[in-house]
Amino acid sequence: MDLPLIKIINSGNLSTIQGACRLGFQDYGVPRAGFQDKISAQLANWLVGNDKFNSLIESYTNYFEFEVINDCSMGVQGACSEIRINDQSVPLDQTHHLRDNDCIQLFNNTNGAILYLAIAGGFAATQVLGSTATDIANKLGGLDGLPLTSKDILKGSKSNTTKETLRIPEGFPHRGYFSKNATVHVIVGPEACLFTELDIDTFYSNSFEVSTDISRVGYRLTGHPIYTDAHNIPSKTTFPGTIQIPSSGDPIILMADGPVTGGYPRIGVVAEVDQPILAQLRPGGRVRFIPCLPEKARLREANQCRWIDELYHKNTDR
Amino acid sequence: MAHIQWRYLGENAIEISDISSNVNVQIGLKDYLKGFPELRIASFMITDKNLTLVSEKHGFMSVSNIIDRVTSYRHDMNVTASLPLSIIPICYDEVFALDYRILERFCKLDYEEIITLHLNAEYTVAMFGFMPGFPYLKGLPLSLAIPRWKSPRKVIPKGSVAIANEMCGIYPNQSPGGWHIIGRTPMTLFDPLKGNITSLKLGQRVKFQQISKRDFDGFTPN
Repeated sequence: MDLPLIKIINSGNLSTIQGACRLGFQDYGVPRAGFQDKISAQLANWLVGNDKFNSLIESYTNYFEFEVINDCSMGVQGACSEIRINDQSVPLDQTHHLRDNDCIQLFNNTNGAILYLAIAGGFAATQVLGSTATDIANKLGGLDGLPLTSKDILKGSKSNTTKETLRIPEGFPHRGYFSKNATVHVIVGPEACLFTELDIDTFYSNSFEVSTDISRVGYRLTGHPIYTDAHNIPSKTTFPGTIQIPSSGDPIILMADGPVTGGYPRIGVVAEVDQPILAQLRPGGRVRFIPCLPEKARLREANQCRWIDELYHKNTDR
Repeated sequence: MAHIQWRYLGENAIEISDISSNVNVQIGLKDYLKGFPELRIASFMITDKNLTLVSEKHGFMSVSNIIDRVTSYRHDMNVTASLPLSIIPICYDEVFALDYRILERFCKLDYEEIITLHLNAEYTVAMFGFMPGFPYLKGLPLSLAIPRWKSPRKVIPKGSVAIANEMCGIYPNQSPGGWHIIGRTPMTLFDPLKGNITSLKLGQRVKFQQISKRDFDGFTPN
């Protein structure tokens, strides 16, 4: 039933199959995994008529190339500056209908880090603990829990073409994500009280540089180390977005594949609504934190979900 | 339950802290809260002394209602966990006990004494964390408590039994890690494709049983 759809020619850097989060197993130590930038991922899926959480390719790359084995419809979102089909540049932000033997090149010359490539019907992947999302560290989901490599052949499920050509509406807010610098809202963390006022002030009044040490597990920030003596606290719950201060003083923000517990003080948690912006930062970019009340963060999150929901609704109404 | 301490952990979770050093109290509280779907708690996470509650998609119904429920919870200490004692085979052979010399020096004991202390203790699974299926076992004799390595080892083999501070842990798979390794079990602790994804359960009592290198090599999981 699984039809080979594409053959990867150049897999670029840190490319994985991602899908809905692996929820409900944190109690057993299993990370959530899933999309780092759920807005871009859901938009890519929308372009090809998929569900929001269909399995697609997530890649931290400046260049991705593949060959089409069987006709399929493609949506690319996130950090992509140019799409070429058989050496011809084609518009971004719309559905493309690919034919077998087409050669597709994706370039990223934007300020964003992650691109998403969706195919109608989604990619076939191993479902583990309720999710197809690849967790590389624990070898779960995706293609045998591994990152994608050149020569991999990806299969699709069921209907892999769409009739419609959809376009992301002009001025849709997702473009705002790809700036070099970002400001993200932070809910004060349980161990914020272990820091001095001066440390807290350092944390909220400076912008931190995104180091080259970034992965799906965590992003390390540099530039304004924050020191505390309380580094060896008992392991406590951590989520994607949790900001920990290890003994080096350089903050680590846990991302989608981050461990479910950590023994460093949790100074704050990045609001879910801003996690896609954070994920899209590149090394050398800067991030600034603003404290935010949980109620306010939830309200902004609800708004963000609304744009996506409305877009999905429009599609099904037609 | 009086004197509840809680804090937000992001906008969609709260953490109730310092509940009890007996994990069965956290398990009891979790099961109790599960009986109130109107609170819109989607998932729970137990760590040592704490219980984290994660909300459903659009947030909790009301945090104050949750706290009221937590306050009204009474743990019946007479209800003991009904899980059977789990026996974990362990081989202390030098090829597996990568840190036995350091332990000898730090604890000022010889390795035979360390093994006896480790075998005689009864442990409780206090939490899972760090990596899938990694159990934090409480009940380590204090004379074996040794701090973590300052910088972690890059590779710790699957099944390694290790010590850090007052906890004993088992690496279900190969991983980097900072705990001191005293032996290895041939048991599979985490199997995501099985119905029972972890061999051990939260709150379960655990004892180690020494096996020889020969038994280790010939071990077949049932």
